[in-house]
This record gives sequence, structure tokens and C-alpha cells, in this order.
Amino acid sequence: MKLSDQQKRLCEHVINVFESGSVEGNYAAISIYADGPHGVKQVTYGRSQTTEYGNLEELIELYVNSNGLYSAQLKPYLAKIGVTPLLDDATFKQLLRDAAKKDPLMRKVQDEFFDKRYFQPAMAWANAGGFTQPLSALVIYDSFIHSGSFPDFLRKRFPARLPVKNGVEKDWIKQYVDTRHEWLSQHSKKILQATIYRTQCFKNEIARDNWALAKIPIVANGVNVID
Amino acid sequence: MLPRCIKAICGVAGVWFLLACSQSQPDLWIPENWKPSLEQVREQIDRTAPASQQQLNQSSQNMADVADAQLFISYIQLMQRLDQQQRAVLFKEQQAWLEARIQQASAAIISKGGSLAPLEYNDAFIEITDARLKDLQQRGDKHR
Repeated sequence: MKLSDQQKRLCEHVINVFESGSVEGNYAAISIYADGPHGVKQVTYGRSQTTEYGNLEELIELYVNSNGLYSAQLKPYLAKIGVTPLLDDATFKQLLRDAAKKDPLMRKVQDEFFDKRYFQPAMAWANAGGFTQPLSALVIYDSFIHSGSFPDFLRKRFPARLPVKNGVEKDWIKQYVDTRHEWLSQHSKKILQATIYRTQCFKNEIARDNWALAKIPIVANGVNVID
Repeated sequence: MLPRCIKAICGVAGVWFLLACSQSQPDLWIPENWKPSLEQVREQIDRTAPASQQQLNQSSQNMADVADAQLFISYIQLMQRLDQQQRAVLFKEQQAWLEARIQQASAAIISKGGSLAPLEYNDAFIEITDARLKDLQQRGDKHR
């Protein structure tokens, strides 16, 4: 999978809109969700949301080692992340917000971190599957961000074979997007139906034959993505 | 001077009256006219149209928190209407139920590692909590 810098940026920006509502993404976003080990609440942070009991420690360690504006203040927290619950630590949460808003280095570290954590594994999967089109990269990257990878039960619902197994790339992507769209739009949980703006965007791009992501803007959930 | 037997009868009656009063006066924890409501908060969260995955996740977490608070209120209200033995039983039942809720909500996550996961967890959490809320409310009504 060979993407130009602009094609990669388009992929990232479309996903930023899906996730945060803005093209740039929300590097300072902090949420508290009850999705930690054994249902405990945990801090979720950053442009693509990494978690306290997941990979937050790794992200903060990268930032601390980069000597950012808030590295010294965040360093003592390295021993606590994932060990001591920090969801009620107002100082810690404010440091995370300030670093993302006031230190460009935190945004750079996040970009590199999320690239390594999500984008590169998605592209490795795309390469292994024999995909070559930029729009395929966007669909695959989205699936990694939204669902963690490709849910097996969805892959079993459509017949297309992977390009690496002599299948046709565009057929596989189209069938996957249609299947995912159907799953979300007819989901028994009403709130999950609200996420079909993602697959709708892909259906639109497939319909206008934008496999090279050359036709811009791409309208992502009502937001024009031009770069 | 009252005869000794009348004094004795009055004494017994007094003790009986005090016991009767203490039995008819339940062990109140919540003033009768204090009835907190979270229905409108829930409706408002439900009406808000989130514009991104982060907002959807936050909205579902808010809804889950409100549902849990409603359940907590109903649990306390029911506890107040039970005797000591029934309270001990309900406490153990609730402990086991809370554990089962975590297991069931976790099992509802299909998108492990994805941004959809909190939404899947919270939605299951809300559904399970609402069912328990209805159950405790019905049991509370029976103990009125």
C-alpha cells in the first residue's frame, strides 16, 4: 500500500472528523468511561483516545522522554498510570489538557503514537490482504479505529475474497462497507445506528469512484475534508 | 396512691406502648417527601444528537451514570422498607447482581480495542440496569 502524504493526511483527517467532529482532531480530549478492567472507570485521552489501563502510559512516557513543556510535571505520573486510579486526579487531567493545547510537541508525539498504534497495523493488514487503493486504506484504517480490526462475524456475511486470495479489491471493499453499513443501520441498539455516518461516507466515495481519493472535498459527517 | 397491681398494669402497658410505637415507626433513612428524580436529565441526554464518536461515547456514559444513580435511589428506597433479615438478603443479591452486570456488559463488546467499544459497553450496561431498576421499583411498590 503506497499512499502519498496527501492521501495519508486525507485518511487521518476523515477519521478525525468521525471521531472528534473536527478535521484537526481533539488532542486534548479527555473522557471517563467505565471500560477499564472489570468495568472500572478510566481516563481516556488524546486525538484517537488511548486509555489509562491501555496505552496511556506509553504515550506519556514518549512525551516525557521528548522533554516537552510539561514533561517534568507529568513524569511522576508514569509510575501511577495503570496502577493508581487517576480519574479523580484533577491536576493530572489538567496537565494532559494543557500539554495538548499549549505544547506542539504533545501533538507531534500523539501523531507518532497513534500512527504506530493504529495506522501502521491497519496498513500492514491491508498489505497482507493485497489492497492497493487509497480508498481501501481509508476503509481499513476506519475499521481498525472504530472496531479494533475486522469483526469476524461481519467478514462471514459477504462472499468476496481478499485480493491476496485472487479476489477483486473493489468488490471486497464495497461488500465490506455495505455489510458494515447494514449491521450498524439495523442494529438493535438504537444508539449504534447513529454511527452510520462513517459507512455512508464510504458508500458515497465508492459511488463516485473516488478510489484514489483524488476528488475533494470528501464529505465526512457533514464536514468538508479537503486535505 | 395507685394500687400496686394498677402500677404494674400501667408499667406493662407503657412498655407495650413504647414497643408498639417503635415497631410502627419504621427505621427511616429518607424523609417521606424527598423524592429525587433524574427522568428529565435522562430525557435531555436522549434528545441530544451527538455529532461524533467521542460525543456519542460521552453521551452513552452520561446515560449509564444516570441509570445507575436511579438504580441506587430505588435500592435505598427498597432497603428502607425491609426488615433487617430482608436487608441482608437484598444486600447479597445486589452484590452478586453488580458482578453479573460487569460480566454481561463486557460480553456485549464486539469492537474490542475500537472507539465503538465504550458505546457497546454502555448500551448493554443501561439495558441491564433498567431491567433491574424496574424490578426493584416493583418490589418497592409491594412493600409500601
